[in-house]
Amino acid sequence: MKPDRTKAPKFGTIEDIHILKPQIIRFSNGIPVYMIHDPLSEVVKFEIVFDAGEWHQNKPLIAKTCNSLLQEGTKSHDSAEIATLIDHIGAYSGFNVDKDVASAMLLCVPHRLDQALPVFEEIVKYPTFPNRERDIFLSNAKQRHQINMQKVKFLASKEFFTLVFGNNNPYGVVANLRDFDNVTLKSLKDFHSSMYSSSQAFIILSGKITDKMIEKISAHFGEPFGQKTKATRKAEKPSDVSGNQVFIPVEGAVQSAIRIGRRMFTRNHPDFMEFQVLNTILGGYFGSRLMANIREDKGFTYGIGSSLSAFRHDGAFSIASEVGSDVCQEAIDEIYKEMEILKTKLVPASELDTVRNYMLGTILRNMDGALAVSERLKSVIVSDVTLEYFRQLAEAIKNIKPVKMRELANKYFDRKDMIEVVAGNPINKKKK
Amino acid sequence: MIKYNRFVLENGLRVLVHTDKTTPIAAINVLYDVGSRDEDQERTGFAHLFEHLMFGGSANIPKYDEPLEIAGGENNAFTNSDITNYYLTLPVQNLETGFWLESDRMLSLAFTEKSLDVQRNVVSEEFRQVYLNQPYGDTWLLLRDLAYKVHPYQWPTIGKDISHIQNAKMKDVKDFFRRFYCPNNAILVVAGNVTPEQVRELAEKWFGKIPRGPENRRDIPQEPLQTEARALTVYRQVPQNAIYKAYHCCSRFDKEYYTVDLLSDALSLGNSSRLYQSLVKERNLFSEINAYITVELDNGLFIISGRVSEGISVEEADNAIAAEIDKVKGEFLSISEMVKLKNKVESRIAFSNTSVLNKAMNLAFAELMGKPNLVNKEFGKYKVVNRVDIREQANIIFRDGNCSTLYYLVEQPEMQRQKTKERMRK
Repeated sequence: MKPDRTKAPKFGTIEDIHILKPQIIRFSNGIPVYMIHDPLSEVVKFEIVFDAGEWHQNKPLIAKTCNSLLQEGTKSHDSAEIATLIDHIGAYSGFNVDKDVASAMLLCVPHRLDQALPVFEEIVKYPTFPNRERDIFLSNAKQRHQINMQKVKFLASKEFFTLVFGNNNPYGVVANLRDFDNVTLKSLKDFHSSMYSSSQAFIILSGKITDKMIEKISAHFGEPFGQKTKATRKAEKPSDVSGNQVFIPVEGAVQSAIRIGRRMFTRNHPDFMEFQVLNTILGGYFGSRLMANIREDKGFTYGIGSSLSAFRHDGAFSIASEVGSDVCQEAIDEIYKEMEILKTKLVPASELDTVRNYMLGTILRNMDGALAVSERLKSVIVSDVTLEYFRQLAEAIKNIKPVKMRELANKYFDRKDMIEVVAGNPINKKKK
Repeated sequence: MIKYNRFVLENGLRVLVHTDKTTPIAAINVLYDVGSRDEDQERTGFAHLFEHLMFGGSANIPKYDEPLEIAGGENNAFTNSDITNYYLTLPVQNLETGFWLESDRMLSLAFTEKSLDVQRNVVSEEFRQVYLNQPYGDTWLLLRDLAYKVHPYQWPTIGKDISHIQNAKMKDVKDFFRRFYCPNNAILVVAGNVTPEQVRELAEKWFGKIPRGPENRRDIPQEPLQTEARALTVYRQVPQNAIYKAYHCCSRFDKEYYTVDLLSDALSLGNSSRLYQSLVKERNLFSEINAYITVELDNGLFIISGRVSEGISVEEADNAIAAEIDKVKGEFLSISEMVKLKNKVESRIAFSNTSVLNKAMNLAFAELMGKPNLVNKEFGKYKVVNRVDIREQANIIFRDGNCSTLYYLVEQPEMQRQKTKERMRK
């Protein structure tokens, strides 16, 4: 058998995307429980998600501090006891806060889940936020923040989101150093009792699931808890800041961090899916135009990418890179050049084919296994869509046309709408 | 349990196949038995630079990524001190595309000046991004250099100095390829909804005719026993003082490995671990602290590192670490602590086998160690470790003379740069 190396082997496009369908039940308190069962799995993941993300906080750091302190003391266990109880059964707990939601997660071998549930129930429902634990957490977080403030990418990203969403919008507010000294016990308790409530929660269970397991979980989380009123906070208008250019000087930096982008939309917007394709072409995969030009052709950077952040009430498009300080302006010019090309020239059919198959492959990869599906499921539930979204996205990807790409580029890549932030060495800043 | 089939092609390529019928994705992992320990000390960073060049086009395929992306696939690679590992995932029906791509770059690279030129720059930017333009970024450059005097583990994978990368010549690159990138120095693992027969046929077809290369005989100078404590203090513009302690310990091959791994878990895995509870939570001397082993194929390092809390002197913090170390040298761990450590390992192994890609990587590494079934036997090896073993290893490893300590301190405004440089030269 002598293979013909000059031609690629035959390959098929992905026609059918099979998605493990979650089973849904409701506990008597109304909490929906999504279950993705894989009988061959040797692990189980339990995650309870609340509308308790940064969107819902009145001051910076409340959502994050509240979530992080859940396991640092409850009505009947102190922090060290909780740690020992969780570690002893070999479980891993995880606490996560993003812009919209906050969650508590437990990962363990299936036959030990029930041993973890009593303490996990306390963690979620009855945390006490001991002063000492709060002080330790905040002082350590403050020190991490100070380290971050020396990283050009952190500085650029912080400024970028503030400019995109504005200072009065929770998506745009980033903590400052003094905020670390202003988190009170009362604000944490208030936030917890109103947000960590059974009236605004959902549970995702994935991996190996048994009926007994569901019964046990229901015994611990099936009754009403927390305040009954649903948190409502209206989306706020961002301040009008488009067209801003900001330079943040960082003495001695050998690279500059670049952020270029704009305010966009949520997952429900009619352009959302097709814009994902345009984003992928520009900077969403290794073979993207930005990577091909700025890394693989010019060697200006180790990496460059673009992405669409979709939150529940808003969204942003951003291009991010760290480049050699001496080539920063050239890199920025090339970024705009690539956007301009998408506005004027049709994307060649072969490139669109590549992107189409790559994106379909990515959907498939992201759905590989029960635990992976649970991650995707969480993101769509937060955006008020269902897993059906991925099937629709696959359809949109399959049917995309070059003309539509050009149309979207003209609609969204207008240079005057772009916010541009650079953090880097002031010596290298080109004089205008 | 990861079931697998294993066979060896005539040219020496070792092939392992794991069938998982539940996934639409297949993973292909190609491990080359070469890392930064195989580098010449005047040409460091080469194994990693080479990893980048492997994407610059091969004999028949001008660009590696495009054909993979159009087949719905994705790939990446990493280099460490021991191995260079390439991996891809793609829809299983397009499996052959992966064989075509991986075999062509094993057969021969295109070696264009342009590709070398660009990747020299990309890697230099990576060096700047990860090691220079980051608070504490040069820690590993300093610490490895302090802990190793003879063994090539004395430089990190990125290389000793950015100039080594910038001076890389085409001839060096070609020599490196001929020496290490041959079938008898590689391991191919395929995992997914595939059959062993199908993989054997594809492997014969695409890899079977690639000529065998020279035997990879290593003659790496081993690090002599360290008998005197070493110390280095540097001052940098960082917000917090940090301490790094590196003790020489066993290799991944040694039977003590499992004991030493559990010892590091006892010190810092999970919130109930000793260092975290005592030094971060109870006494608030550190804002974070870690203990881990470097897991290398020659003798590695046992690292304890921490960021010192504001207002605490480095000496006090260092003494507190020493006191915790004395405890594990003097007393046995408690019985319930042992149960905890083993339960944690059991979960960790289960979690590491949740995707076809992870399973493929685990198999490849176990094969490199000469024992592919290790993927199924590891937990058993942890289970038999007892408290006596752990205390014994603590006494062997935590000797003052076996330790290299790096104090990474906040530069005071009045401090002169010159002073820093003088200290570093020692």
